[in-house]
Amino acid sequence: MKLFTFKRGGVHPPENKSLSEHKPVKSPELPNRIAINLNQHLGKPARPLVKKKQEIFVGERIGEADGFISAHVHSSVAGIVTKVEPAMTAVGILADTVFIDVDKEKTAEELAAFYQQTPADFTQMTTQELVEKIKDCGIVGMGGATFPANVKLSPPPDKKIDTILINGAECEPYLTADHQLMLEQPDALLNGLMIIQQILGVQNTWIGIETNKPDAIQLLQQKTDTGRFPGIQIAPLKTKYPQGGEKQLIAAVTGREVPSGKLPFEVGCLVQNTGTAVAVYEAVCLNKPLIDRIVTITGFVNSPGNYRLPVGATFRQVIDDCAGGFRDESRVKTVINGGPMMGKNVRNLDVAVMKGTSGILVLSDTEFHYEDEGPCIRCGRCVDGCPMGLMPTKLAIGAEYNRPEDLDTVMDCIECGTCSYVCPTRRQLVHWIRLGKPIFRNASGS
Amino acid sequence: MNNIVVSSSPHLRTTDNLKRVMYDVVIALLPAAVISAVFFGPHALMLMIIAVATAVLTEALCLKIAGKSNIRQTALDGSAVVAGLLLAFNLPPTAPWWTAVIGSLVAIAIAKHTFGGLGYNLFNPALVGRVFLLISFPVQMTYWTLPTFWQTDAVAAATPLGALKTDGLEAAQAFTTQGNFLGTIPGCLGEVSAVALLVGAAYLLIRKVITWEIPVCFIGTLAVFTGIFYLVDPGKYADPLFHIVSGGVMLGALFMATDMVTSPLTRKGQIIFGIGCGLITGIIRLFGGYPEGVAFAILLMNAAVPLIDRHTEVKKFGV
Repeated sequence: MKLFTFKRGGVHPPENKSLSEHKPVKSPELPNRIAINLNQHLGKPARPLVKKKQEIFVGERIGEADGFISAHVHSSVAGIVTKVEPAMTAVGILADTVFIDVDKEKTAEELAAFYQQTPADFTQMTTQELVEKIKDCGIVGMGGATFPANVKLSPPPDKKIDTILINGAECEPYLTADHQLMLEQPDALLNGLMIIQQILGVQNTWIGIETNKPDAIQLLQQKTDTGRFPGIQIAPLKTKYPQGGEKQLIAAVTGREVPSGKLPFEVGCLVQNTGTAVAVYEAVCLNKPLIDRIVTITGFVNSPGNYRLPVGATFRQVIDDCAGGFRDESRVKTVINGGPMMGKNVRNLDVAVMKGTSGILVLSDTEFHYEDEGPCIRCGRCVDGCPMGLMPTKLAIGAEYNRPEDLDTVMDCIECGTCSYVCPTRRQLVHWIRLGKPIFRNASGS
Repeated sequence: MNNIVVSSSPHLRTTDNLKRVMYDVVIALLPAAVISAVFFGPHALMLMIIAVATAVLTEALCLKIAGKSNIRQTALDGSAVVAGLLLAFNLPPTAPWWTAVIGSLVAIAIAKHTFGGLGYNLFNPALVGRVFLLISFPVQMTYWTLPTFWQTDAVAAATPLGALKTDGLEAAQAFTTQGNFLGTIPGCLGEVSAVALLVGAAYLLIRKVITWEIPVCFIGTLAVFTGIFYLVDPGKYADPLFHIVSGGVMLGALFMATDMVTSPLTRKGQIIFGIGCGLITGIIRLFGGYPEGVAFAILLMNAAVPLIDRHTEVKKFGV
């Protein structure tokens, strides 16, 4: 088996995936109340379309995309709007939020209806119709960056896409949501890819999957071997973080390096996440907006696993109702929206599941230690580990001492966290680099 | 649930830490320390203990003056222990006890803490201590004895490199390469056995505390440089093998030049650094006034590290 990988840097942290690996996706009982944020995507937050006391149905558009890079937001439940006001989100910023009292019976009925219809035949649709459906359904990148999918699928006409890459690497430790999605919905995934191929007029798609998911590789290989999905191939990836990074995945599979400061279409590539491909299929063929997603709830909880959660369910609800609550609440140190390397930890448990929430990770005092940073001892491990070929310690010191001249490469940092992970003196390298970005931007006037 | 931590990602860190790195170096130095004590006896053991104790106490004192917290923890993070032990390794076996005190004091207080403490020093602390002693107390610092088992009464002797410098090639050839390698030749505490140092260095390589670039380039360059002269005139110049197993080359190349704080960040920089160390060592040994040049070579190259770093940045992705 040919193994693909990116060449430069990287690290292999303990995977800790066994906690939730191979646990079938379960749908929890609906919560009584739900809080849907209107900034579920990269770009401008959506404008609220509903008012207090308004009755709404499942999949109703409650937020209108505001501008080109923005996305619609839909209700994941049927019920009554109780209020629309700013609330703290899982990514740590305030955003307009629609609070809904859930009508459980109606919700279940309307949700089921999506899957009871005969899927529409996408091969009969035009490119414009397909992109329009994806836009209408509020599909965004589900790997975490939440870039509006319709925008990504409409590259500038002068940029010819020849390769589509699907990120099934799931290189973040602990997370198993994409793995389980590949095992349980391979046909939806592959049909979603056929739709994306049709939109772009390309028949060359690679699904990158790390070798720690051999069953997913085998299953998708069998499916593509049937010849029903022309152009789609499987790329087994070496298990190494950050194999699923957009630029790393492109380099691993195609050998092309996206130029500094440029987007993947510069090298003829387009990258989507496996979850996004399934959402594209459901939008186009079932008319189902992005209102739920598979989330791995794992770590220091009683029953870690993979759950299909409605967008808007609060962390507290899903940790208690799905994952059986914390193993010992007094020992919980942090709760993370996403994986441990790039996820953000939340301020409280009232924040809600978003379109980009791939995992809810609870870490106890045994795994999570907040340590004060020491001085750089110039061991060079961050330099060796950086997948972008940067000198993290130099950038961090440049930010710490406010020296824009040392920050010339800071904008290339993808904030994967490898440098901070390997640092023996616990330097907050990624944090300093984040602070360095505005310093550099202001100084260079861009 | 009001006390959950909000911090910057990543939220997991490697289990390797500063203490582990530093004590790995201590572990790697132990074989040489044991052999040194076996050959040079109780006095050598005492010098090592005094040097380490002085280094740790000086570190604590400097941290206190600097107003740092966690003094006990920081002083015992291992970096001062390493500096003290390496300083002792650079002393002759009969050096008076106070040379260990002064050397460690200079190493920690002047070479390390005037620059800001751990991570900020430009020069290798132990080598600054050694050079300070060598210049200030040349007599005590160049009195050598023959290593014997658990030595209690010392027999004066010359080092191979000293003999080469003052008495010529024939005198130096009285020492066998094998003796140099195993540790039966006069020299500093830590220089006595190349094999013990190599065992320690292998451990550091496996633990990924050091990388191969500096030692290989240092030793390789010295061998090539001295080899050229040996080929030109074998009657006048010692062979390259003699040069790499005698004196402080092994100790310097494996443990002093590889000090991460005072060596270049990138692999490319480390190669340049190693080559520079080897070349300067060779020049001093063959043409300089001192028989040994390792310490000076490393210190000179330490001074060049900021410059090397600037010109050896790694090539970033996508250019």
